[in-house]
Amino acid sequence: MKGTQDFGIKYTQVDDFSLIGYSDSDFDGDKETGVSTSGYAMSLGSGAVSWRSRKQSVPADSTTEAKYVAVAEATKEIVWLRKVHENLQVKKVQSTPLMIDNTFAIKLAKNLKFHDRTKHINTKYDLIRHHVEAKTIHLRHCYTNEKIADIFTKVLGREKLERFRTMLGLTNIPSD
Amino acid sequence: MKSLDGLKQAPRAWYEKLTEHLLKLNFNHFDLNDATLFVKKVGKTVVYLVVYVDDLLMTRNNESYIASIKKELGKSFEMTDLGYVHYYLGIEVTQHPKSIFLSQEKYIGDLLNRFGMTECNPLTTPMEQNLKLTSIEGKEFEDETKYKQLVGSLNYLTTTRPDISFAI
Repeated sequence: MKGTQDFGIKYTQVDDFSLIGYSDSDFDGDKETGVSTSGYAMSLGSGAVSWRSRKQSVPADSTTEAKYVAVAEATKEIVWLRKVHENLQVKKVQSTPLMIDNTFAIKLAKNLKFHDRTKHINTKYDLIRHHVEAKTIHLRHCYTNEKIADIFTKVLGREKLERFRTMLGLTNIPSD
Repeated sequence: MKSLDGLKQAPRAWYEKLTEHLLKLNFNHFDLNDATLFVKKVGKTVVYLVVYVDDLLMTRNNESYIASIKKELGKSFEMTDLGYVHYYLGIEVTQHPKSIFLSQEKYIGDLLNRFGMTECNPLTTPMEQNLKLTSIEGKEFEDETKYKQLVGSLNYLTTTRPDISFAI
């Protein structure tokens, strides 16, 4: 922490005060238990307002499943944040984009296709589908250089760390 | 209901009294699972109020209203109005006309002191890349309690420092 002691999050007044979610997970990150780590970040306007890095409760048996568990966790957080946001705006807010990097998981949320490999994650699947249909969230593909949630699921090198850190609103310059 | 300072039911009695007053002032629990956040809506004005024991923090989407709420609360409780928030639960708040900055510089300084790391060399990333950690190799901690205290303290630091979440 020494060296970045004066870093904090800056929230700046912006015109586009909308919520964007980023979700990701590694797969099988803990070699001893086979458990994956989920991470999400929610940004509102210029800075991150909510984030989490947490080991999943059970080992996932595919990357898609691990990503799906992470998306379900992120979705629950978005539902809560939208409630706060809608209260502040005193109006309904538009569907919140949730950025993920797994196209298969995006397809899965759109189609009612059950197959053997995903049968056991049905509850999470239902939760996500429900919120996609209710237009609470929509899943969107994101590119490697904007995968902010990476910072919560793996150890990053200096360049990526500093880029994502800035994208979360972290800075050591408090003034405008 | 009467309660005395220092009794184990005193904090609960205080919280109930405060909640009762807030409800009278037309505040509502924002969420029934959350004891600390209250909200009051009057037309297009929304006031949020956070309670941490006897530290109250208010914000709104409209300039008006805060003064009258403070006045009302002041009738029932002995209160000190600290104005704009600068420090809350170890978090430093720097407010500018168009931005708000949240940091824990003092908290980090205290931690470095407490764990004897004020003279250490700064690193560029919070965790070594390609590090393999196992529970069977290596030696055990000399001071397990101290390690647990440090992890707990660092966890609190993630309030303003999401960049260290994964490493912790």
